[in-house]
Amino acid sequence: MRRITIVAVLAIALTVAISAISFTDEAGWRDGGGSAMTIREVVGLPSIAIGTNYEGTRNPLLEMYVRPLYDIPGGYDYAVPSSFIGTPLGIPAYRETIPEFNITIKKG
Amino acid sequence: MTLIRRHRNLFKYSLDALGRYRMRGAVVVVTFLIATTMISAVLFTKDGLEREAEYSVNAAPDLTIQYLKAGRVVPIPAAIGEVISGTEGVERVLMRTWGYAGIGQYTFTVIGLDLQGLDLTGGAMGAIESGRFLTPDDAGTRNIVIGKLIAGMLDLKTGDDMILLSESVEATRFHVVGVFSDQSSIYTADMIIMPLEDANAFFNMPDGYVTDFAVYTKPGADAGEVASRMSTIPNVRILDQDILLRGYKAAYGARGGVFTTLWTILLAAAALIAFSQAVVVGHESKFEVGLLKTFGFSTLDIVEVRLIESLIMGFFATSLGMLIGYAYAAFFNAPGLVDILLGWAFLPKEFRLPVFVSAESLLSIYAVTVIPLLVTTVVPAWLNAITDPEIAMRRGTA
Amino acid sequence: MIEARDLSKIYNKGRSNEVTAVTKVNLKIDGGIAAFTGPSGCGKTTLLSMLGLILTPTSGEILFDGENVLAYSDYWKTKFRRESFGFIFQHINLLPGYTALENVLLPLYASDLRPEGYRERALELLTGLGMKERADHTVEQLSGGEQQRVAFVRALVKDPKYIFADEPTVFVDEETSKVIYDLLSDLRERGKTIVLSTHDPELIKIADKVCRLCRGSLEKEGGRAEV
Repeated sequence: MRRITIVAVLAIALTVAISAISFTDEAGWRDGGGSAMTIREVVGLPSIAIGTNYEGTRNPLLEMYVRPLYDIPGGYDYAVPSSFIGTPLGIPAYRETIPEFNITIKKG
Repeated sequence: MTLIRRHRNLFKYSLDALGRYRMRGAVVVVTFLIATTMISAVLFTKDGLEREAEYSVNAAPDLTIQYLKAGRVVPIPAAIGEVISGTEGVERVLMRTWGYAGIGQYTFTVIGLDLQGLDLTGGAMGAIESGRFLTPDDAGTRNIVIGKLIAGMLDLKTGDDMILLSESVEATRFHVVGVFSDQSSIYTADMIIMPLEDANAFFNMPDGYVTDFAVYTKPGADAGEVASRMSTIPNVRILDQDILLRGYKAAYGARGGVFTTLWTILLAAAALIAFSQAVVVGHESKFEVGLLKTFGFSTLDIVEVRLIESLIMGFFATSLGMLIGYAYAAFFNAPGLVDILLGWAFLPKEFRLPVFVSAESLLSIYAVTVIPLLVTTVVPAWLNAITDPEIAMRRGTA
Repeated sequence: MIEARDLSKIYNKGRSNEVTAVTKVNLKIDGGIAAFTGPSGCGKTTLLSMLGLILTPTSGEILFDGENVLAYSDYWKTKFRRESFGFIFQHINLLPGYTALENVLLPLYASDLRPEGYRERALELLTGLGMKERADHTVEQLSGGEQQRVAFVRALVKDPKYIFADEPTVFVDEETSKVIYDLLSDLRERGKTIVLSTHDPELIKIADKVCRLCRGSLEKEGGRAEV
């Protein structure tokens, strides 16, 4: 087989290989991820460690892109108080019905 | 049969042409290879982390209840748990105390669980590599289960003791009864799990207070409706799964987005290189097209030849790049990339990044590589093919 | 028979650099060797290219055996060329990087024929022109004369009915020229129609019809003695 024909064969083979990996991964998603799932249930919180709280271990370039994360486990309050962000503001039922709710925003 | 032979002839000619323009092909392939390797490593890792976030959120409590004071999250009175339990649609309420503990320059997540209320039949043991998980009998014993990160850093194993400085600056001795597995590292690597009582003492929580509540709704109940029924409880903030998921996706999206942007720029540069190579060999290519048309290659034949060449080059480079990117992330933990995406300063050596080759990312990468390559090669060929062969040859030798 | 009626070619028509290369040429070629001759720039190559259907005329008609081929689509013209024409160019125009044999078989890739099936014939033709030992040499390894011989074989490998040759002896040595004269005469004997442009007096001597052009127009037409 000529060398250049090998390139063509490889192009097909490599494409099939990565497509097969994708197909397997997509199918695997429906299973829900295996035994690691049990720890999620037991621990009871989404706790992917997505960052440490200590500035010395963070990437300074990245910090400007990190957003406040509602003080959920694994996240951290950074520069903006997390209570200004989140569903309660987005759902009218919260804004209108909770007595003495955070009244930073009040629609006239 | 004749049609098949005709296309076979064109395919063979395309391969010969690829062999002739070896230098141009090599430049295009190498450039695309480098760009797709990095962009796919970032995308597959980002997709993997987002997918894990989705799994995690799916298993998370339906609602998380926090307490606000002056707009800031503060410990929540445990008594509110009874009010929440009484809300229609609520099946179970678990108290949690959690926070961060520092060891040297590193920070870990400490989680205190209400072991009485936990359903331990679900198989938490599946996440344990050595020792055991906590049981209700561990309440107040300062028995802990730790993740691989801390185990590796302090060289701890089941049966060892470790000392942490508490919030009240007291040295507190904890006993390791279990170590989490590599497979669960994405969740547990920096985690220290202890009984609720021990966490309250460690964080010097006021009596009768915890950090938050994990609320599980009854099957069939709508979490949003249950949440709205709690709206009369003053000063509570209720997080549902969507919020949590959006938070995680935002974090990974932001981090991943930086790199995706950078590498997309690189891909654009690669497309420009491909185009410039097409220009460099442009004269030769024009001449060749003119000659082929003279011999009876139709316009479609010429488009087919260039299409085959570009598809082979594009798919070879892109698929190889994606496989290398995948291997770099899945088997080597993407050194240089993972600490930026995860923000960890230190990784357990057994840790494996969750990597997900989503169909969407796969097709996106092919779209930004193969299509520009096709355009930069097929379009000029088509333009030459619709020109008179005599003129094309003349332009090619000009 | 090849017939041209009021054939004209104007390059860059309507622009400031407009050039009239050929003006209202009328001629008939009924087999044999037809030679176009004239000073440089008189339109010989342009006329040849138009008759070979590789250059679109600005106006006029070209008939092959009574059919006006210019009325047909580019696809049909390409097909006609593929099946019936062989070309030899002034600048030889072999593809670099390919061997002599590969260049010869190139036209076959445009068809549904098996190029491998024509290998024997190609080698036979190359042998006939003294090129057998050089068949596997790349174009860069051949002299100008050798390249032109290969170009001839490429034009003939599919045994075409019409052969168009643009100045086939201008860049070759005397020995190769002689081979070409013999080859063309032989092709004529076999019933091929050969249309060529040339300055070469030896080629004009063997032509059955000579057309003299001047500034794009047909100045004189007839047998070689007349012209």
